[in-house]
Amino acid sequence: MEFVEVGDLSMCCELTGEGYPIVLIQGLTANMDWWDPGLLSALSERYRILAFDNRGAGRTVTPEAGDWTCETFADDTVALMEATGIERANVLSVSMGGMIAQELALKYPEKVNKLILGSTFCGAAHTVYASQEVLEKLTDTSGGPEEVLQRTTELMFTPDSLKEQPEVVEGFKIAWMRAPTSKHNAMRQYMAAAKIDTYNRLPEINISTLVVTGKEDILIPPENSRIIAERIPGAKLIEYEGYGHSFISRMPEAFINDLLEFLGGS
Amino acid sequence: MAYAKVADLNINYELLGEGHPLILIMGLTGSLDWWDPGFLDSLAERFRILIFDNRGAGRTATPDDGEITIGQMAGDAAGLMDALDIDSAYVLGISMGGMIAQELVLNHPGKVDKLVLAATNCGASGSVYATLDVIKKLADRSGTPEKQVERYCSLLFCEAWLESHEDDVHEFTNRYLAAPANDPNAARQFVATVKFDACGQLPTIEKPTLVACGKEDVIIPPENSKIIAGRIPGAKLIEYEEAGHGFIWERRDDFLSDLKEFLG
Repeated sequence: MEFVEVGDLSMCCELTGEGYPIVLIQGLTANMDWWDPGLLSALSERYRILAFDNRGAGRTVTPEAGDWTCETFADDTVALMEATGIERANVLSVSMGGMIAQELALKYPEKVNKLILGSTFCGAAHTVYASQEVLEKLTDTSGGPEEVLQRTTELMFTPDSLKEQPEVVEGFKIAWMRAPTSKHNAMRQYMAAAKIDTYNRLPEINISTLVVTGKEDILIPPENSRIIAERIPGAKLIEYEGYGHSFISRMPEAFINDLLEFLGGS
Repeated sequence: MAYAKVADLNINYELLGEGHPLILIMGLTGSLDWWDPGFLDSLAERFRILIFDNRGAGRTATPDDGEITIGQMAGDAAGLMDALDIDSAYVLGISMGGMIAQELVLNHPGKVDKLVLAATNCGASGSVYATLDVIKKLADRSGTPEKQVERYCSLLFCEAWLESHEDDVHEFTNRYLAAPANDPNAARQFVATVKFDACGQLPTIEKPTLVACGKEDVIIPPENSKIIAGRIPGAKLIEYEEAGHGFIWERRDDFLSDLKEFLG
């Protein structure tokens, strides 16, 4: 783990593995520990992985003032790539990270080799939103970290996995705890995600793209991935049965296989 | 929340209130969130309070490599004072923070006006250690965040207080979870406390000193405060009944009044 000065941030990041670069962009309030260790280990055998904490999340040192858009995060990501000597990379993104990755691919197409958009949406009028109940839970800032963690876990995991995979849920909670995000920063990130609107521009993306989602995602319903996959020319869509918003941290073997096949050694 | 670049760190700190500076140094793995808000509010009426996250704790950006020592953390505190133009201050350290405060006054006596050492020891050569069971429990970082805090609270607070102060424990739990230290940093800080040894130098401290502890402290047994008070010339000792390692939370109002009287 190291800190790299990027614009007004001191970004916490980690570079592991050897090979062609792959940049991992996390979602709302997530720190880089949320990435599944199995996924990182599978990727690090073939790729040089850049993982980091977004503006406002985890350990990245972020000014208290200012509002953001997903473009702000895309600018940060590109600046971090440049600061760490990565000219061009595959980009693997989840949730709000997927929104950042869309802006990144649109604004800096030369920086992206292949694009993976996980559990995300393209915004505004063309978003299939979560239910009112889910959105209320997501934006509920009452209580302290203990309550936030409880609510986050309930949104991320399907009721079945909460019951049947306590060790996965426990692993998530421990990763969450390594660097929780403050309420102030969580709300600023949430506002950035709420403002995303790339629907009209998605056809301009001329990058090989894989769109993936859990079929039981209640936070960003899977319909959103279908919309994105239709709008990006040639994009491939894969939906995973039995997985919610956390499907990447639940680590279906199938996803690793699909991912490695899509990247195809590049 | 603000940050200051000090040595190889980006230190997260907060300044509150007006008056003579009072620096509060937190203990093992603790972030500045751990300070009781009521405790801070009360002190901020009279003092300019500086709280911060030690090397390896909270939101202070800390390099992964290398050993952490108490002397180094005292240097960080001194560097933070310099960065904030604080020439000298009252210094209160709790637990590992008390060890840092001892090194601070020994290495930078000009920076310390008065010294408060809470629930701490003076290090290897003259200390009474916790039982092995307690040390094992303290070092156990397994399980979910909730389990970890629960385990820690069972050591920090005495049983009677835990049972009668459910809301306070819940609030402490949330402050603990706001910015917990990661396992490698917790281990590095723990090693620093084990290697710390200022016993032999305590008689050279010439600052007015208050030593305070909870009589039921199982993490750093109260005998250690007696040892420290016996070695620092003129030091005053206060022991709180029915309080543990966390006496500043358990006996907050009593400690506040004793502290204010001592600081004047």
